[in-house]
Amino acid sequence: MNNIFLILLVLLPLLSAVLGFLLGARIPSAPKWLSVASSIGVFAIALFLGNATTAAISFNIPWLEMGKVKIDAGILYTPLASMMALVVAIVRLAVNVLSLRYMREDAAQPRYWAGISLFSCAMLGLTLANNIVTLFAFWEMVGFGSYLLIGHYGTAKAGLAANKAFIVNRVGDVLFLLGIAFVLCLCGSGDLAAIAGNFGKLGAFGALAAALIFCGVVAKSAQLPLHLWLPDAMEGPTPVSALIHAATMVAAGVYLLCRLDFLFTPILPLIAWVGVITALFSALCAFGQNDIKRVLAYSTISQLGFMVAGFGLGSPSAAFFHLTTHAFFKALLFLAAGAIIDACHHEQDSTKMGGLWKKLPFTFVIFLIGSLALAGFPMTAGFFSKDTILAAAQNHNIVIFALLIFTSLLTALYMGRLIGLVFFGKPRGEGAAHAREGNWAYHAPLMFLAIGALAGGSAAFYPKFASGILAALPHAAENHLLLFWGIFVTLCAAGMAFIYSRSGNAGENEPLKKLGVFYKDLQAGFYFDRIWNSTGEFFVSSVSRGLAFFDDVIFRGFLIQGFGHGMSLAGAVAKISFRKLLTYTLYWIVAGAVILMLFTSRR
Amino acid sequence: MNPLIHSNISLAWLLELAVALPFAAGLTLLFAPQSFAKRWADFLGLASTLFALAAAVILGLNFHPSANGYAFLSTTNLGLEGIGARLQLGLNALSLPMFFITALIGCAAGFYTYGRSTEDDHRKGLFWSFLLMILAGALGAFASVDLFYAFLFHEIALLPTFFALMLFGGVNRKQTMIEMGIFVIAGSLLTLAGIINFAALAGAGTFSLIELREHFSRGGLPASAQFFSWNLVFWGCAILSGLWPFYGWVTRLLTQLPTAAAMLIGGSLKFFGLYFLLQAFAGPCLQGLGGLRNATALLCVANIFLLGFSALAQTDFKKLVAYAAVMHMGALFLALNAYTVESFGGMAILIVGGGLATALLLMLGGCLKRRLGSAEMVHVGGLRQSAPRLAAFLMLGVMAVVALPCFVNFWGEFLIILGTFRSTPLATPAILAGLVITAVFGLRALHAMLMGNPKPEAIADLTAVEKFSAWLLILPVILLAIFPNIISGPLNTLLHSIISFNL
Repeated sequence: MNNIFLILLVLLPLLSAVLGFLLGARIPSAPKWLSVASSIGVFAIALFLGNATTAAISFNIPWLEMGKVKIDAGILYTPLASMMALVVAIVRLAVNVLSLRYMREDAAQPRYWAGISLFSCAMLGLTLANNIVTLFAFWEMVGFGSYLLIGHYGTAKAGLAANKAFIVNRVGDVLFLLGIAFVLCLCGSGDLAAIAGNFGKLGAFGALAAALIFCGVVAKSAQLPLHLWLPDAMEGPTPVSALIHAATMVAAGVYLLCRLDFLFTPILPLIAWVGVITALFSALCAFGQNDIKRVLAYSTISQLGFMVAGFGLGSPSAAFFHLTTHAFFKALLFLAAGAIIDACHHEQDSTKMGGLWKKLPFTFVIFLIGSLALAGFPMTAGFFSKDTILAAAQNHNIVIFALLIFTSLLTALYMGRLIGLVFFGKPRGEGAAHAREGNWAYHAPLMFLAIGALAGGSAAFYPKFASGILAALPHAAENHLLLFWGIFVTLCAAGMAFIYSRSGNAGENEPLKKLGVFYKDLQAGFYFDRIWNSTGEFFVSSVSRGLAFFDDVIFRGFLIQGFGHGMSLAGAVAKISFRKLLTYTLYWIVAGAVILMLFTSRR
Repeated sequence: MNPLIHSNISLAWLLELAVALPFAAGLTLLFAPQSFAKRWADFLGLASTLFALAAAVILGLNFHPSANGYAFLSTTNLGLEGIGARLQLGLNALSLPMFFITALIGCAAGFYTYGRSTEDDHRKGLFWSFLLMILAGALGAFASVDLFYAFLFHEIALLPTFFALMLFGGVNRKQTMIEMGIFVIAGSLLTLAGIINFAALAGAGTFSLIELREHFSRGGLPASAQFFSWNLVFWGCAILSGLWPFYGWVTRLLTQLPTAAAMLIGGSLKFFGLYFLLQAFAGPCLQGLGGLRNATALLCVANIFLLGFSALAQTDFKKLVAYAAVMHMGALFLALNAYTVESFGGMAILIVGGGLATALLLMLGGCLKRRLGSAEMVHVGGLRQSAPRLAAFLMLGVMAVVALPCFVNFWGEFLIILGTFRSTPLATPAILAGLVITAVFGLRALHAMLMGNPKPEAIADLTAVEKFSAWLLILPVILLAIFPNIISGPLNTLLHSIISFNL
């Protein structure tokens, strides 16, 4: 029975996606309600399974067999998977409800809803897959769902952002695929349980295979240097950013790390450092952004860095715990940002906002809750999860600990800056001056997620099957140093908010401009984009045009045409048209062969 | 007697008819008076392509191969038996998918032609006649168990292609005809010489693959003979399939041919060389493969990179598709080179997915050209708003070529990657890089055509007939991705027997 429910978990969104794409043109509202219905169904099933399951569930269906490759599609439902499925279900439900209002004026709603369903199907498939190959298939589909939704508005800029997301992920994915080739050829099977058993067979290649698979994680979870697609992905509708680019898809990389944790043992230090550098780097970049969504995007990258670092420090459950709480509070922040953007008539620039706490009191409180959780204010969900990572660092590597502690201070500061700009001071733009609070479609999902952001730190919050992961974690409240640190950074953030609440400090008079060139680097995200673009430009214009020239002029022009003209010339001398000659030759190659054969057969 | 086997034999007539009927219809339209052709061309053409597709589906559903791997076997003497060539038709796990996609593309091309057909087009009969003969030739080439007849059918398909190019081709058709002539003649002659040499070396007095296999199972060819045979056929087929540096004629042929014919060539007939090598020569001539293995691998890598980057530079959508199609030959030939069951299987599966996707994209390019006068991508824009159905199918087609997992191309690429990794691991990174390059030019094309503001001149969306053709082509690609075992199960058995030939 539970098996059927597990299959439904993937099948419901798939059905709603397929039907949505097919019916969307005829019945424009069908995809919307299909998506909402399937998200409610998925949420109910995920919740039910989380409570009803006591032992891991695993089953297989034969899928593809060729030579030594045998791939079974199947499901492996572990506490980790149950928690991830629940996170996906919760965030998707919230996003779906909020989208009912947010997307009300969109002309291409059917595509939007069907896209959300497709994405959810892929994401749940990835969560439950028991084979590294089927997992990879869903992994790529997740990327495709993200591509569709980033480009949803169809502007040239959104299209470029979507392309960038897909291509950067493709780069990671092909390396991932190479890693899978190692695993399949050496372990003999792609089944996750079998890999765990035969892992030793990888031998010296173990580290290489793990590093290759980690490349896939680096792209999907937006770690340095493949992070550059995520800030651009903010071109998509804001609810999509909440679902895909904050809570679920980008977390898939971290989930993969945790699900295959045994595989990565040889390269843990590498993983830890990638995470730490990413966390610090993008926390810095967040200061350079004025677009509210881009601040949150860099913040997401930074928090993903925290998770990856936590994993690298040998604590997968800490990483996964942070993934879970982050999903709640970051989705909350993004959805609240969506509510703000909508209230300000699609104004995203925080320097053109200001004074919104009076006009949007509910959203302000919600945003504050999300920010506190993100900053790690004691007793919020983010406090517990972030501090398990910090505690792991403290026990492990003091340099990493110092960097992460510093990053957590930066986190609080940039959120303080953002809150100061958005909510305090005087309105600096038309949109902010006439902002109006939304309705239940905004309030309900925000409150729903706010509960998660506040209470998500307690194991009691989660269904029985999953809560075991969290119960085993060290409880951060016992660590007084981190407790005080949490309060201290929040106070610093309040100071930052105060500085930016003075309207004179927005936009042109940005205090950070005193940093000079460094501030410009922060704004530009330190040249990664420029390197990416010029590499692309080099291949597209120089290499490919050069080759096309070679192809057209040298190869075709001189060699082939030259040969042809030479033959024509010879033909003209011999008074035979070359074209006719060719025609005849084609005739005779068939007829001649037949005649020849008939002739020889009379031997 | 097993009723299944019985039904196989009794359906042999259907296979014969599936090849004969389009051919007969094509000949009828070619020689019938113009008034008849004008009146009946659409009906005869569409009915024959539909019949071929229906036959392919029925044959596929009733496919239960006998011990030699073939089903629906029939042998007819057409006067060449003196040299050992008999018209022997039959399908095995490798030729059935080829036969199926050929019939499918033929049917889609038929509908596409039907959709643009006008009352007063006096050359209508002639065009249908060429199309049907290309279809019949391709169907025969894949259904033929006899090597000589397979080659003959392939040539029979190329002749009307040549005439279709001459009479209905684009503005640069003259140059293309010259190139096609040179390359096709060279490739065909090499292939033919290889076939004759192979059969003569066997000394069994037959071209029938079944009999040749039986013969070789008692004792293989000496290594030097294998080397000679393999290289004759390999280079012939490399030219016919358009491996770098012999690709120029294929890309230009696909852009200059009328769309319906280009779909058949680019989606199915172009793969004949590869299919032929795998079906007939990979088993008995393995040692021939070994000799120049590194050299061919180098050509394949050059094929992937040089043509991939050339594809990136294309501004015309049809040209882009043509380059993408030829670029994929690199991965396919590397799969052949790797010589593992996985890579062979991946190659067959990728041919199915790639062929159908190429045919779809060529058709959509034709739809663009029909509406705008050219398929230059700068003239197209904002299709998602102005022509959502066209945009949706463009995206499906491109994503299939990019080998997204919900298309069967993914399983093909995946198996090729695994297969090459197992035996020639240095080739694997090239295939992976090819996947990235494909994504880059595919997505750039989608961006140029689908995103942004619609151009002022309105582009009409796909008509019902065009939409139907597009569904015909893309639906199997998706279904096979969900149920890959339909194709991989029988293939696995067959490929094991091919590989074990030399073990």
